[in-house]
Amino acid sequence: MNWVIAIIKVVFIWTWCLLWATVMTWAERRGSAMIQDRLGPNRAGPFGLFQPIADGIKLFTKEEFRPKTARKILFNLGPILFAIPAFSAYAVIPFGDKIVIGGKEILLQVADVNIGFLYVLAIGALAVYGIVVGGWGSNNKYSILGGLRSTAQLISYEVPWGLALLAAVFVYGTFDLRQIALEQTGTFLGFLPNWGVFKQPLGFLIFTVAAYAEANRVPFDLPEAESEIVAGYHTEYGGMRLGLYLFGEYVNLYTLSALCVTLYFGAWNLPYIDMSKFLGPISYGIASFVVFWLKVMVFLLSFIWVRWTVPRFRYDQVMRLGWKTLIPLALFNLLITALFIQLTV
Amino acid sequence: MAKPVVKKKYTLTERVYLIEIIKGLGLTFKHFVFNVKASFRPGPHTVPTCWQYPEDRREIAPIFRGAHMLMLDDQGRIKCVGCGMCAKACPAQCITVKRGKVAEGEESKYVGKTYPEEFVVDLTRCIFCGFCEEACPKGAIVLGPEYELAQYTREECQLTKEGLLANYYKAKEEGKLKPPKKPVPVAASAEPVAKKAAAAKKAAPKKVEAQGAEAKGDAKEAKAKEAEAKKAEKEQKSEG
Amino acid sequence: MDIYFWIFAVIGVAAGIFTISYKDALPCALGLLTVFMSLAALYVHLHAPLVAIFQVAIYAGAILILVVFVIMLLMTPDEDQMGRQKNIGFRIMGFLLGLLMMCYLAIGAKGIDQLVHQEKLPKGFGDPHIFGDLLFRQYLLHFEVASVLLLVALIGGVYLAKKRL
Repeated sequence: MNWVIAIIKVVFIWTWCLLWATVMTWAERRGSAMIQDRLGPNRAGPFGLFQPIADGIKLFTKEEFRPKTARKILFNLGPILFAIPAFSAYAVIPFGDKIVIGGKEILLQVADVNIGFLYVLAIGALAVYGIVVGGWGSNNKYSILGGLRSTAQLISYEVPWGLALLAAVFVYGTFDLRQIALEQTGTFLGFLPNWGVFKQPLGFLIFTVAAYAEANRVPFDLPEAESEIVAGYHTEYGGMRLGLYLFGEYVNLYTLSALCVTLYFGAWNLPYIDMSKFLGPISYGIASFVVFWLKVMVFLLSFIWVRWTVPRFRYDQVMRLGWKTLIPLALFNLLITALFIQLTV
Repeated sequence: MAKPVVKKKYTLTERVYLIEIIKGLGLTFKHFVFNVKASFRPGPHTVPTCWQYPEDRREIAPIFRGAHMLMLDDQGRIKCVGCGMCAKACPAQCITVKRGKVAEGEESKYVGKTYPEEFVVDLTRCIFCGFCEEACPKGAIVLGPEYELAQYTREECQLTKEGLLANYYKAKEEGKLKPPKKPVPVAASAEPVAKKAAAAKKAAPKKVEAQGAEAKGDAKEAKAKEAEAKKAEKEQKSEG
Repeated sequence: MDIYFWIFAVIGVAAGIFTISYKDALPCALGLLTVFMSLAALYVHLHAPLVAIFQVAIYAGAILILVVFVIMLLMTPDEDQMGRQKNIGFRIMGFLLGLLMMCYLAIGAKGIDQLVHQEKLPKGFGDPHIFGDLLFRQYLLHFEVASVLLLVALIGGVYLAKKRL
C-alpha cells in the first residue's frame, strides 16, 4: 500500500511541476512583455493562455535534427542528463502538511528522509552534467564556451549556497525539511511570524543570489546569453530536446523556489493563523498545499521580475561576486548565527 | 572633438548593488502595473508603445512607395503608351512591357497611338525604388500606397495590367492618389536662395577648372585658378 | 535474492567496464558517473543515506566535474587514445597489478559472509546527528588532519599553478 501511495505522490508532483513549468512559460512571456511596455502573446487564446499548448505542440512536432559533426551519444544524452536531476530534486521538499484520506495519514512530501536538503544540494550538483555534455556534444565553439562557463558558475555558487543552508541548519538543528517547516509556526520576538527570513536575513539574501546563479537565470545567465554566444549550450538543439532543456530549467526554478519557501518563508504556515485549528483534516491538507503553492508562485514571479530589472553580469563579475563577496558574507553569517545561538541557548 | 572619458565615481548605494536592484525593481513594478491595466482597456493602441497590427495600422505618407498602379487621366484613358522607359530604368529589371498599336475602335481608351499590350511587374524582384515612376514620360506608372503584398504562390506575385489598374481604382476609391505635381510659387524668401545658387554655380566651374589644371601638371596655372575660385567663394559667402 | 542490489550491482559493474574500455574520453567520464550513482544507490540500500549523499555531492558532483573539465580543456577529440598505450610493458604491468588487487580483495573479503546477515540496526542508524557526533568527538583528530591535508593540497595547487607569486 505504501508503494502505491508513494508512486501516486511521485506522479502527482511530477505532473504538477511540469504543469507549472508550462504556465511559467506563459507567465514569463506575458510578464516580461508587460514590464517592457508591450503586450505578450495575445492571439493564441484570451490573453494568450493557450500559447504554452501551442508551444508544446510545436516542440513535439518539430524535426529532431542533429548536426553532422555532433557526437551522437553525448548530443542525445545532454538534455536527458539535465532534465533528470531537475525533476528528481523535488523529492524531499514538502508541498503541504499532512492530509488524511480514508483514515490514513499521508504526508504531502514524497520522501521524508533525515538528510533533507543535502539531497537537493547533491542533485543540484548533478545538473552541471547536462549542460557540460550538451555543450561538448554539440561540437560548436559557442556551445562549449557556454558549457564551460556554466559549469564554473554552478560549482562556484554551490559553496555560498551550502554555507547559507548550513546557517539554517544551525538555527533549526536538523536537515529534515519537514521538521524545519513544522518549526516555523507561531511568532518570533512577539510580533513577527516565526519564519526563517526573520531569523536569517543575510542567509536568505545569500541563498537567493546563489539560487539565481544555480538556475542560470539573469543576472547570471551568461551560459545561455542570447546576444553574446548565440544561445550557449543549447544552440544546436531543436524540437523536444530543446524542450527538455527549457522545461528542466523551469522545473529547477520551481524546486529552488520551493526550497526557499520551505526554509525561509514558513512552508505552508500562514503568518499568524494556525489553520489546523479550524479546518478539518482533508481541507487542512488541501489548504496547506494551496498556501505553499501561492508562496512558490510569488518567488517564481520574482524570478521573472528580476530578469528584466538587472542587466547581465560579465563573467569576471560573476566569479568575483561568488568567490570574493558571497563566501565571506556567508562565513560571516555563520559566525553571527553561531554567536547568537551560543548566547541565547 | 572627442569627449574626454571621466571615470564615474560610484556612490555607496551604487556600490552595494543591492539597493540599486531594489530601486530598479520598483521601477519595473510600476511599468508592470501600468501595462497590465492598459491591456484590459478595449480599443487600439492599448499599451503605449505597442500597436496591434491587423487592427491598428499606421497612416501612410502620400509619397509612400508601395505596389505600382497604372494611371488614368481625367477622361478615363490609360496614360501609358508602352514606350518601355520604365523597363529600361528599372535596376532590378522586373518590368516587362510589350508595345502594340492601338486598334481602330479603341482610341477612346488610350491616350496615345500605342498602348501596352502586355505590362507585367514582377513584385518578387521589385525593390520599390521608384525609378520607373521617375523615368516615365507620361506619368503613367506610379508607386501607390499598397504594402500588403504577400501571396501564396509566385505566380500571384506577378502584377499584370489588370492588377495594376485594380490598384489604381482601389487607391482612387480610398482617396490615396498623390496630388499632381504643381510648380512651387516663388516666395520672397526664395530670392537670396536663388542668388546663392547662382553664385555657387559660378564658383564651381572655376574650381573644376583648377582641379583639371592640376591634373595636367601645370602648377602655376592651377594655383592662379585656385586663388580665383577661392576669391569667388569668399564673395559668395559674404553675400549669403 | 535481493533484486535492488542485483540491479544496481550489475549497472555499476557494466558501467565500470564501459569506463575502462571506451575510446572517447568524455563518455568514459559519464560511465564513471554511472558507477558513482549506482554505488550511492547501494549505500542507500545499506541504510546509510548520508554516505550516499556524500558520494553524490562530493564524488559525482565535484570531483567528477573537475575531471570532465580537464577532459574538455585538454583532450582533443580526434586524438587516438588507444595509441598511447602501445608499449606492451605497460599492459603487462597493468594486468599484474590488477591481478594483485583482486587477490587483496579476495583476502579482505574472506570473513564477510559471517558479517552479512539480517541484524537489527541500532535506532537512528545513519542519522546525521550520530555522524556529526562521531566525527566531532571520537574521530576529531582524524577529521582535522584530513582538513589540514586538503588545505595543503589546495595551497600547493595554487602555488604550482601561479607563474609568479
